[in-house]
Amino acid sequence: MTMSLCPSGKITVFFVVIIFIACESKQPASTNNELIINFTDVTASAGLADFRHVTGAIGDKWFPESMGSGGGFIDYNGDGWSDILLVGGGTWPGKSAVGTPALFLYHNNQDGTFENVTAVAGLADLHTYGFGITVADYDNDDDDDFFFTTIWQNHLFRNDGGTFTNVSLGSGLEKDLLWSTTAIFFDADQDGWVDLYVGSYVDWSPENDIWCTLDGNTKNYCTPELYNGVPSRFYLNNGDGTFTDKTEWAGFLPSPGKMLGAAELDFNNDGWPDLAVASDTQRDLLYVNNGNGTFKEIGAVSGMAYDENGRARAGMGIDAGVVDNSGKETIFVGNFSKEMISVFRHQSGNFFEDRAALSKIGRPSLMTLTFGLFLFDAELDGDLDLFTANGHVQIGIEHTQDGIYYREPSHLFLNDGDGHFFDIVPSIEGPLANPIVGRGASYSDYDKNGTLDILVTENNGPVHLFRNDNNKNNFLRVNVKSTTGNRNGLSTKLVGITKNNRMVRRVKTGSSFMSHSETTVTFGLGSEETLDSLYIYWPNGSMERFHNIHGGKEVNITEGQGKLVAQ
Amino acid sequence: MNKKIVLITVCLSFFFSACQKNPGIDPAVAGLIFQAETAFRNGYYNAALAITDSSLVNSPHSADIHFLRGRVFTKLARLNEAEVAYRTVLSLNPNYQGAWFNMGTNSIRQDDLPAAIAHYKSEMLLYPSARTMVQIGRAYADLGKIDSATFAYEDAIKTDSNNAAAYMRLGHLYKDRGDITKAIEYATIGLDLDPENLDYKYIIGSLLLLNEEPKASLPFFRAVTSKRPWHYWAHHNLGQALYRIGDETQGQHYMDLAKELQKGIQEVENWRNLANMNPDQLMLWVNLGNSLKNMGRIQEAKDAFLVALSISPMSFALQNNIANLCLMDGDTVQAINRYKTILSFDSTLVDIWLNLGVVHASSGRINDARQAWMKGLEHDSDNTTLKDYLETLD
Repeated sequence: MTMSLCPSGKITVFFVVIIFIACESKQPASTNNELIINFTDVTASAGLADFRHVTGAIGDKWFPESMGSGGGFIDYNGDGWSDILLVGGGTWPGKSAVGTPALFLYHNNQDGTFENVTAVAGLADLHTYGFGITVADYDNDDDDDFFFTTIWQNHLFRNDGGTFTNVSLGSGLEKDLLWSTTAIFFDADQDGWVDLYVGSYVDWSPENDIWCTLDGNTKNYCTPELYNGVPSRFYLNNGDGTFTDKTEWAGFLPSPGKMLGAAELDFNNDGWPDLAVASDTQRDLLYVNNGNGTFKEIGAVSGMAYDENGRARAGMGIDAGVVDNSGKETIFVGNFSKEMISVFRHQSGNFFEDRAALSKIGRPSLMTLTFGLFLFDAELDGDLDLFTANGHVQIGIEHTQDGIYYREPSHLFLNDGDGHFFDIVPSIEGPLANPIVGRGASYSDYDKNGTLDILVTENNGPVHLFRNDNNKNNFLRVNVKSTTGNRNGLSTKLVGITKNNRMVRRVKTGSSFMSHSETTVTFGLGSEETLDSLYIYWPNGSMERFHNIHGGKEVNITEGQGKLVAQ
Repeated sequence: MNKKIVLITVCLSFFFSACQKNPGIDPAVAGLIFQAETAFRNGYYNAALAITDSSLVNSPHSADIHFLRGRVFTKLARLNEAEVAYRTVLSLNPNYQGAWFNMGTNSIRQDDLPAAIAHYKSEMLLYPSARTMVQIGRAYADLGKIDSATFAYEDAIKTDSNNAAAYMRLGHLYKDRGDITKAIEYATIGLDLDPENLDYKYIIGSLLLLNEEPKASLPFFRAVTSKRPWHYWAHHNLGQALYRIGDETQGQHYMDLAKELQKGIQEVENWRNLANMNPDQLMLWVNLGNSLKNMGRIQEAKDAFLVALSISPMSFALQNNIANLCLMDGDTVQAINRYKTILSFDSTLVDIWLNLGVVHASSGRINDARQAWMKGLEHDSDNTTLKDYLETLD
């Protein structure tokens, strides 16, 4: 709005655009002295310090180099302790020598340390350009298998008693040589075999790489607007170790592509898993299950696809859960800098309401670029909090944009119990406040003390294991095993009730960004000693109820057996 | 048109008040400045720059001339040259009103927010105003410094309780804090102060929708969509509001419309970004103008073509496009001038004679229309359109 002698109507048009895309930043640090949040970076002492994500960058600034990668937790040997699986990244053929393995597997020694068992587990020989993992028992043989996305062929690894076999060829999953990102296992048609949704990003190759710049002189990493999106794919599990591409049949076409995150939810409580998808610079998507494993996309109509001005954002990580007393599910999506985290709570019918501002998450998240994002009960007080891993894609962004940084602290938004959050990180010291180039993020109680620990991957950097030392509250951890549905019990809903609280949790894979968290459900009991009631709604529609369960432990529940087995 | 006349009057008075700071200015130079200002206002940017060049020969220390050059360069997105011009203004007259302000606004365009704040503050030291405070608030808000932004907007309101923009922007801050009630309260005051402002109507509609009052938001969105059929955002939110009150058919209608408009909006934004980054690239401005024109955003399209014309001043096609847009905008005087300019360079362009005649005819100047079409026939005696048009006059 230049101070022209002749103001024109155009000025006001400019104003309306600006007013909604600008403004806001970090919330002032909380002064709540009663709250003690303590995470400790145990990466080195845990034996993970040697890991480095590799981008293969040699100066070409190829788009994929800025995006990876993920990692997470897997119990590869079935001992009940979370092991760690990390994506190593990759190098470019012909540009540099074959580098480190594409995958790194770390065995949990059950004493707070991990040991690199990549080779022993049969994962050392794969060299590719990798991005994400998702874990599930796809063949219902009671162990954790995993699917690995790359820029070329994706890989399905079958767990054979603690070692893995690459069973991609012939699985039906190996055909599409597309840039894949986040994948999610879920039983879309509830036939007892987990199906697979594989996110695809853009049509990029070294041959069609575009020159992008921040300063007009030197090349920098591009953003996805310049490339055509590639639709994601959906594969039905045939129950015999193979999958069939049912993308179109299931209603996943057409789609704009540029997908980076997917979260399973059941917002309409019909017992069938729905899917929320975060898309980068495209509208976010909401697939409602038609009750037969096919889907209808209702994102735009539902109100969750765009920001309040109908503008598509750069969606990255995503998660969904019940975070307030409404009992309705809320979808959270991490977005680009100058785009606040999206918060959409289910309203009624197919409609969602934008609660980014009301939740108090919007403004503090405005300046950060969020990739990994998940809901978990950080301090075991019975509500879901929100953790986000942040980091920009443009090296040197701080030199061209004020208030935006390449390396960024994490966010830990603590929930007041009714869906109002505040970011505790600016008011605490410690690892969460350290600026990093965050990408993947996942959680698990790796040390089995009841608290949920955080694993964050960095682009072209180390991994971080943040041990959760907020263990003054009580907890109950629940593993489910379905006998009539998929073995992992994915899409099982658990409702835990204490005197003052009702907690709704789901067993799921996916969420966050290219990463996998444990499927064990954690109920934070606060100062309560017991969980008064636990309702388990199995995927087949049946329900089991348990009463007066003492906390401070982890229990296993097998569908139909009517008993809790303590670990 | 009346509004335009009023604005021009305001412009002229402001301009002369600026000149009055230099009572010793040569009347001839003052005349040249007036000519340059008129050329600038009418979109003849090259002419405006040429006249200021001439003026500087005789009056190299005239801050007014450099100030005008700064504004022309800003219009042409040549922000570095604008900065040089404004700096020169301030070296000649450190108290020149508007120079720091305009530099601040250019800094915002360049995303250099700390510089923008510094410039605005310099302006405030000389000429405190609510308008400048609002700009400071805007820059702070963009930087994420919310308390400072709030303070600036509140200060603007204290300075001028009728500053609608301050209320709107303060409301926006409250919205982001999650206090929708307060946001609506402030936005309502803003709209009351500027009740015809469609942007404000859109904002209030959006706040009401956010506040789960879809029915109440409808008239605001409808007011925008009726006047700005290209306004994607209002169409989208109108669709959302209709859906939420149960009118799925109309809701889907507007969502579909929005989807179509979205493509155009994205195209415009892409071209605008590229043009601003590469202001000397003719085709970027042409493409921007075309994409704006396709959306029915006539004034903005004209602005883009005018910049293009400054890069390629002999382009008859651009002149013709601009003239046509002037005509669509109801500015027949400008349209006629543009057509005549083209014909002064090439009188054999039959289509231009045709257009010129149409403007005259539609303005009731039958003889002028006849003359123009006859001229056209001199160069294309078989032109049936011209003949048909002439027949209508008989």
